[in-house]
Amino acid sequence: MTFIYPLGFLALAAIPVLILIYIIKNRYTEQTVTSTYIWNLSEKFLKRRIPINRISGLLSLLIQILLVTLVAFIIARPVITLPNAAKAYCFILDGSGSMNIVQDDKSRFDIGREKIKEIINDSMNGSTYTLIYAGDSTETIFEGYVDKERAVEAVDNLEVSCAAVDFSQALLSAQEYFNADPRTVTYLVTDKTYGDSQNVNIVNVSAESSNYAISDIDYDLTADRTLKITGNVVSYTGDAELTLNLYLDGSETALATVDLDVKEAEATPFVFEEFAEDFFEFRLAISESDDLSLDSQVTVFNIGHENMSATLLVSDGPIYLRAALNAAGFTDFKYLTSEEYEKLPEEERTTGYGLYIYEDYVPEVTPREGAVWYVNPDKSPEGGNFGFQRQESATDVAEFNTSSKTAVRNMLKGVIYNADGELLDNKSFHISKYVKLSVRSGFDVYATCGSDPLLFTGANEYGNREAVFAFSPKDSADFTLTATFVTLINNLKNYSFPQVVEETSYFCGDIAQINMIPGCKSIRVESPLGKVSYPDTSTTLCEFELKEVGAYGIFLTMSDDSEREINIYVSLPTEERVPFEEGEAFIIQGAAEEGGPAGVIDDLLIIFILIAVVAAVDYAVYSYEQYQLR
Amino acid sequence: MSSLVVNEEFLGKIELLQTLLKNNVAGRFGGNHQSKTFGSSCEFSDYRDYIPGDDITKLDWNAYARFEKLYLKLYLDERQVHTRIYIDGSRSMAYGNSGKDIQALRLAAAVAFISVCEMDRVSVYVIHGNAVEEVISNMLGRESYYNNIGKLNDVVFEGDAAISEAILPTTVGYGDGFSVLISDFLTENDFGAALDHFAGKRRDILCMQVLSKEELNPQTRGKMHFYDSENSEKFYHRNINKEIIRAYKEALAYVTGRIRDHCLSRGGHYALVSADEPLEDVFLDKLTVEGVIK
Repeated sequence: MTFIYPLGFLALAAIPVLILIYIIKNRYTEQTVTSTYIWNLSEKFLKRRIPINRISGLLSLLIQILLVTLVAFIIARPVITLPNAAKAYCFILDGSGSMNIVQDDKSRFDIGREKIKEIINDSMNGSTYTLIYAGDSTETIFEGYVDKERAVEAVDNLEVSCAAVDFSQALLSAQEYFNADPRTVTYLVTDKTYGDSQNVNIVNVSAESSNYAISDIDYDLTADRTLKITGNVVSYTGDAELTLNLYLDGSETALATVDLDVKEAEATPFVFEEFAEDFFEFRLAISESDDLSLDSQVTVFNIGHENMSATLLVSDGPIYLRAALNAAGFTDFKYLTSEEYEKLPEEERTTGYGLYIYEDYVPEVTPREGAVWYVNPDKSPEGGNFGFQRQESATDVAEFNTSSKTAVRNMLKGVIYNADGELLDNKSFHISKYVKLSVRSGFDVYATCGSDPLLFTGANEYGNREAVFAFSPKDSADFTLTATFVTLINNLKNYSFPQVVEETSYFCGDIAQINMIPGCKSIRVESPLGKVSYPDTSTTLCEFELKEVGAYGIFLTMSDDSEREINIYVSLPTEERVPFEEGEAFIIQGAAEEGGPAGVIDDLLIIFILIAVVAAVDYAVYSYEQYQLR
Repeated sequence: MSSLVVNEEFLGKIELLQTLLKNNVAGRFGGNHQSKTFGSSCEFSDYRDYIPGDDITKLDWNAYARFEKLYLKLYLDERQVHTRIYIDGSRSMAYGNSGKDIQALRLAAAVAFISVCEMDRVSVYVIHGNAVEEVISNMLGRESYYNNIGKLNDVVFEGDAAISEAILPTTVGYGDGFSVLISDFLTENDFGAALDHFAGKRRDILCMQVLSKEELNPQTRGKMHFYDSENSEKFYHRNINKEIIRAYKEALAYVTGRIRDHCLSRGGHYALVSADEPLEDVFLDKLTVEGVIK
């Protein structure tokens, strides 16, 4: 037996004091009486005294000494150590998406946590506890804990993920712990069934459950404004008659409904064809409830709306340019003359569009958001990174940049190469005159006339993408009416409208990618459960892991502090939708050994407290009896 | 007399009472007590046949005229009684504020008064150790009583008292009245032999056991070491509790019962008197019930 606080035995110093007080207080009172005859004679009339009564005079002192001793023990916290009586526990907790399935008002994950806590609480003190969590990532939550409360608290703080889980890393970790101590008792708490296992106790928390899921969603908004949605519905537990509802743009009223006769484990296709001028998002939901709601509804956000592509063209003679824009697929653009443009309020002149194209015109104020094209500028723009010098006659041949340097060619590919990866036709690049511009560092030059840049891109002082055409389409009709120019315009459109997100539908566990568009200062991500994160925006491609099922909100804060919102939807991985999944063999190699760490019994405290209470009550009763005698 | 607690009013009450004496009184004439023996009083008792030599003046001639046979008239003899009062003079009678000494002296004074009122002779003795000391001798009549009773104030209570050893060698009289023994009887010394001696001398016996209130109903509790007032080598060491008190009372009952039984078996009387008990209650109630006084 050891003691946690041996100094508690200092309380035993009170015992000599008690004895001293007892001796002083307990002295017999001497008194002379007329005769002791009757008193002595009374001894013969005393009942036979039981031996315990002989110490009745000492009872008070004995109880007090007992109390003091107990108090000293309580303070000292005795601990009894039993060799090899405890165990080293290693828990592997499945935190995959299927653990979200609800059984009897509790998720499988909650049931699993309770099983682990039960084992911990029932184990002998002195045992060690290690927990490997296999969720959206596999990590050792705690290792070698001996404090039960601390271990239970850590288990309570765990949250189930929605991702698909690969147990290989967890198995490796468990194998390491087992190799370090073959006496380790390993528990795998999961809802999966394992046909083969070794050196592991599998705690299966699955029970009869139902699950219906929507998968493989695809949509198309046709030219005649028909929104066609296709996909599949699956019932994983038996045949079912299900009703699928379509909701558009956040409406709570179903736009359309289909009834499906779904066979078990078979993908039953469905089609919605509804007229829709446009839409931001649509939601599909199965009416019938099941035990796993995460995959019973899906929201799809219109990617076109998530990537702003509105264009403003300011020109006094836009015939050739408009033709090229139309040919390049610019469908959402507005045309204004320079006079009309200047009459607009400043806010409308500089905001609201993803691309501003100024032909033969340079505004006084450069837009603070969106990309800017200057076509044949006649002066230096405010905040632009080039300077106007003069008009020049094209005495040299215009030509595209044909640099052989790999880095330069990679840069050029996005602009002056066609879809087949071929350099644009240089032969049709005929211009009669151009403007001589001084280009500052940081601009990429794609075409030149002599040594003067004809086409270049870069970022202006406000961080917005800027493309400069140093020639007039009107004066270069031979070139602007060619397919080469249209391809060039199309490439520059893609350059100017970098998509913030490439897609709006993901699976949990995927990595979402956000293109860092010009002018974006920071990105804030709000998860479906309201968790806010700020991904790293120092690179051109911002990435973050999707750990929750539902709609994520991605908020881009622009350079002028305006905010742009983009939504994506994250679905439960397909493999996690199966309520009764069979896992591969879970085998921990090696020969298990008996025993474990030294067991500790430190619950003696409550026993001592109980004894102390009983002794105190006994002393009170004894005192009362003494009082009654008087 | 002023120092005695027995006051005039008390004496006035008890002088009307008579001590009840049994018929076997043998003593001197003059007392108010009738003897079973035939004597010279004027009170006729019986006849018997004449025997030559008898006093012919006692012949009943009327009976001779009727029956022609000589009968002698017998008259009850009246004897003067000698009451002997013995007071235990041991220290146990006077220790502390028990009041047993005062009560004992009051009882002796009262008994003596009643006796002298009956025209009896009264002697008062105090027992110290193995000796009987005479305090008042042959007190007869009220005048003598008032002249001598004050001697009781000089009685000293000290040492121990061996009652039997003290009384047996003395003259206790024969068949001539009461022997009154006043003591607490809290002693291991024998007193039964004295009572037997009285009975053998055809004396009427009255034992008055005087105990203090504390002795009758002890209130002391807790851890006590009692020393005996007569002998410091005797002690009692105990934590006085309910059980001890119960045993004490049983022992007390045993002692008083033993004395009472001894007295009754010898034709005597016994009275247990508390030290604080009023003498009126003792004489008008307790001794009357006992048949000592009528």
